[in-house]
Amino acid sequence: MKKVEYLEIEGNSRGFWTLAGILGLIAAFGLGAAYTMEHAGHWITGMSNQVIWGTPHVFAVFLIVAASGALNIASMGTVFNRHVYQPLGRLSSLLAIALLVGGLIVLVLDLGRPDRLIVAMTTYNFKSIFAWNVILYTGFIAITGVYLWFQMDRTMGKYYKIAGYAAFVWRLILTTGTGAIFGFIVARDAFDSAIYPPMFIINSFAYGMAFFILVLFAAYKWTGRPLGDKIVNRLRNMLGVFVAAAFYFLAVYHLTGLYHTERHGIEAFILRDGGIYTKLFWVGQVIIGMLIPMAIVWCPRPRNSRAMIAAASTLVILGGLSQMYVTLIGGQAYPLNIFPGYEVVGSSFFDAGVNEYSPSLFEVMLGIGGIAIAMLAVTFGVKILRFLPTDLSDKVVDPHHTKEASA
Amino acid sequence: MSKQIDSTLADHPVDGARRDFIKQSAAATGAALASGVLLYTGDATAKPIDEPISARQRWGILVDTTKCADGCNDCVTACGKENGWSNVEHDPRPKTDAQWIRTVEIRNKLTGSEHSLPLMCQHCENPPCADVCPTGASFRREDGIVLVDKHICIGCRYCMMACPYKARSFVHEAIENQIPYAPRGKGTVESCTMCVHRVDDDRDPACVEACNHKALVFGDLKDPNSEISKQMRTHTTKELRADLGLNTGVRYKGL
Amino acid sequence: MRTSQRSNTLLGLATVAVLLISGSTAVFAGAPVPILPEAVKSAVEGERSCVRPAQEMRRSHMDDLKHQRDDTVHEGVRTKRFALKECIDCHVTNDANGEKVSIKSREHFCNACHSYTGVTLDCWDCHASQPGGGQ
Repeated sequence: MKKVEYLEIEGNSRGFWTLAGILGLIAAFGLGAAYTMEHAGHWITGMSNQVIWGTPHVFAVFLIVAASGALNIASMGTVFNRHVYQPLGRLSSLLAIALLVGGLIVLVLDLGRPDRLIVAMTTYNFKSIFAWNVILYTGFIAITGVYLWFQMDRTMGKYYKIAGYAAFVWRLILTTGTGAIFGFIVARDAFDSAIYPPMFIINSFAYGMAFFILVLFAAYKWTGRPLGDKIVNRLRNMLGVFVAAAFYFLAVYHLTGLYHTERHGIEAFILRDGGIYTKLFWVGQVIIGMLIPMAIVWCPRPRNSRAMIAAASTLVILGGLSQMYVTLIGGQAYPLNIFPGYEVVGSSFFDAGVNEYSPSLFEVMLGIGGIAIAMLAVTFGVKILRFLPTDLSDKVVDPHHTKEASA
Repeated sequence: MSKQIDSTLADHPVDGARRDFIKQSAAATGAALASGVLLYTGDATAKPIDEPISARQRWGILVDTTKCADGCNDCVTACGKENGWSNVEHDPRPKTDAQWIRTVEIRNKLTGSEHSLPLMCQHCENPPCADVCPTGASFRREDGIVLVDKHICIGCRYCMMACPYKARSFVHEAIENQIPYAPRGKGTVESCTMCVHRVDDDRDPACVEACNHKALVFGDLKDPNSEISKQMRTHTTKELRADLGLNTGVRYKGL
Repeated sequence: MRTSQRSNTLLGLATVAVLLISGSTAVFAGAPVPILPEAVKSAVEGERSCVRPAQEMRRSHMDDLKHQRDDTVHEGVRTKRFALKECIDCHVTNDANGEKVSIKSREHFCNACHSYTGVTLDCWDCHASQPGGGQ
């Protein structure tokens, strides 16, 4: 194997600054939306006392889940000894940190009292998953940062494996924590299930891989650096496997619900009667997010087209956002069952029937702003430090020249 | 609102030891008094204002749905006035305006029997809201009242996601002219406090006081001689979502 | 820790304020020196007195209030000595026209100093800033 060389991108072209400008503008709009929301109060958003978490949370949780998945490529190289992925480790780590930061910014800016963030960092109730998450998220940034440092600094090479293992284990715990936010909620029929943490981990593999593929494609295309089919095909195949696994978990989740009489209500709501949530589930989450990408990845013709692989990755991301919307908002739109065996015929507090929610522009802007912040961080990251190998053509990454077991 | 200046207010600074001594002797006197009184009547006595609450009490409310009148909203009105949440200065926005208590009408899906009842924070012994709160702002007092410490609430609303009774409201906009004993403000979560300011003053919650149909009974669940304990011993009562095992402080009769 | 930092800041600022006022009044004549309204009540009958000497109050009222706040919210301790409500009842007075004074005004006892020292507080996001809650 040829020695892999890393180099900053030049980042002075008109294209670079256009990209940075567009991302910066979107991020600025997002921050502006957050300021408006916080200043006026949350009543100007679509969120209410019925649908408590809204579009910002959809984006935030999605980004946080995708972040841990984005680290997967680095872990494949370090933990699972797939040497072919090692040149991608740096970008994978950078993307993971950037996505997490983007998600956290959205989450924090939606708080009722973002000015009290210091309270969240200093006052803990350790029975709360959120409290764990504060530690898991900051720990993830720190550990991945160290891992990145050890990847880039040859003098620390002997600790590189340990850091890689630590980051891998940490990211699994982190996504367990993110899934548990929903899995541990006993009050709502859509949540309250131990399948959430592992399902979120599988989802994170898919979402993180989709983000990684898109960023990799963009970076190599726009800088004109060679990117060979060998590495692309491996990433593509992994994307397919992860989406299939996510599909399996989704199927098990809903089959369990369809079996439990207690859960028939929520299943009927999501799968059949839920209007926008049903549409988003079948069209967004299942068809766009899973079936079409799997078809692209495994059908002989499209699978060899870069454009189609990029399309598949984009669809996985759109499907992921749909999944979060259905899970998070669909789960809240379905009314609480406070009086089992009874139906509510009158209430001033919307106890009867499905809770309405339509996202406000502010929320959408904040959410998209989070993605822009993450992408902006990556854009400048690869300009400032040596994240990207100069050459990822087949002769550089050829797996036959590695110690890797035959696979 | 004129009030006397109490001795604790007028107190000049005292050193720690002396203050502790005063506290201890007051506590001792209080305990002696309380036990003496309990022997005879079982009535709760007013706690000295400088003494912390304790787990000797557990406050609860019993709702008699057979007495709760259809179309009556007195408890809700009284709560809103007492705690200031119904006094909104903007046009009503039902989806985002706070409601600490509401009346709900329900019909049995099988038998068709109908009930009207007030629904508010159920003051669980194991409150899911307190479990999930990252900062510990949601908590249960020693005497069973579940509260939000708004000083450390960051407005994440996870408690609202976790509450099985939809008992909590998020304050969606700025508030002015709060009632001095009922602080509430934008960006934090709030819910029924069982009128904690009244309970600490040995008075019934506003909803209980306002109910003309005697459908609400407030009292100490741990005191076998309290009215609420007596009623719960003789009648079948129910906790909402008993399957969750939360051991609520608010119970319903006649469901 | 945060409170002690804040109190240190306040102390520093107060010192600067005192120096400015005492030493260079002529130079800084335009500075909006806080004018504190007289308290309407007294903690000790017949004396002009707060629950602590004014010097101490300036320095440590925030610690006392915070301590009281935790005792009251979590443990139901309802002593009045360091209760914010009692501060408001004594110190927040009506203006010359007998109107309630807004917390945003420099005539408000709390805001008089806090705006001067540039210490922004969120007490009144939730708490009544006037006796009786300005109803």
